[in-house]
Amino acid sequence: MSKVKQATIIWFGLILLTLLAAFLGSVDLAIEQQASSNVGLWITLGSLVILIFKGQLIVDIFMDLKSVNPLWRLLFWAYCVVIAFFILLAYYMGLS
Amino acid sequence: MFSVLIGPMSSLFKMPGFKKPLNQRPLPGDLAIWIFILAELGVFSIFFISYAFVRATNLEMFAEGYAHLNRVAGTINTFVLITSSYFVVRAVIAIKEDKSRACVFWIRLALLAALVYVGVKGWEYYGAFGAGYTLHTNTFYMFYFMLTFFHFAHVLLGMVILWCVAQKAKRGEYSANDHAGVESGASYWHMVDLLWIVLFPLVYVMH
Repeated sequence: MSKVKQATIIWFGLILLTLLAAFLGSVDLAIEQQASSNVGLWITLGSLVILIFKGQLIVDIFMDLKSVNPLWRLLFWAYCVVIAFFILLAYYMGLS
Repeated sequence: MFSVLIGPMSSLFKMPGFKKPLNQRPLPGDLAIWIFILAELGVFSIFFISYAFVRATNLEMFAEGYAHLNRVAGTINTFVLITSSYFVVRAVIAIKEDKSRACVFWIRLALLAALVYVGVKGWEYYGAFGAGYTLHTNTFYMFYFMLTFFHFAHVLLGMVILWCVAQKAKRGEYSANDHAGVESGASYWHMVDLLWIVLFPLVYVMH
């Protein structure tokens, strides 16, 4: 696959993931309260999974770090994962 | 200047006994810009994590602030930044094929997209200030304005960097054999995108 085609597919994928994240953000708070506290948890988890996935696509394809020293890739992967972990931890603190 | 400061660090990778796998490429652009990028990501990470924990202890205030945010503006800005990053990727591909004019074209498109971001962000701030919200309104708005304006400043710096890269490419100073400047500028711009990838869901989505 050519670099242009690959970048274009990834761009399209990132746009779709953004639409999905925006949809999660639009979920009505009233529905959330009527259902259970799990809706808010699923929104947070879904947003974090999308965040990690988008981050990895940008790092691997846009930043072109897929075939460099793995340490660099690990550092940028850690940026997304560590932040996601602490956001989730803070969310649980808020629930309790 | 950064290269002079961190030059010795890069020699670590040239020590005897250190063997790179055959299919491993060097880091795109200058090592200095990657050190700078990591430092910026580190600083923003502290901001993001602080926001998450402060929100956990001020749920009602943050929920009320979140309800007044312009999510449409945030979503548009996400589209625009991702698209701008795509244009920068096309610029790097072009210069690797020795196509300077195409490189300049794609960077100019990236700058145009960045201008859209600046316009949307300006409109968002105009709405917030017009409604009476400032940095001093409460803790939520302090974080909101600090995070977004700090990111906005990085976007402006990125635009200056891209403009300089475009000018040099237009003068023929980059080629297929010498384009570290283009890759460095591109890497900085992707960092700006990477920051927004976290900021958008954290501030505009999660509730």
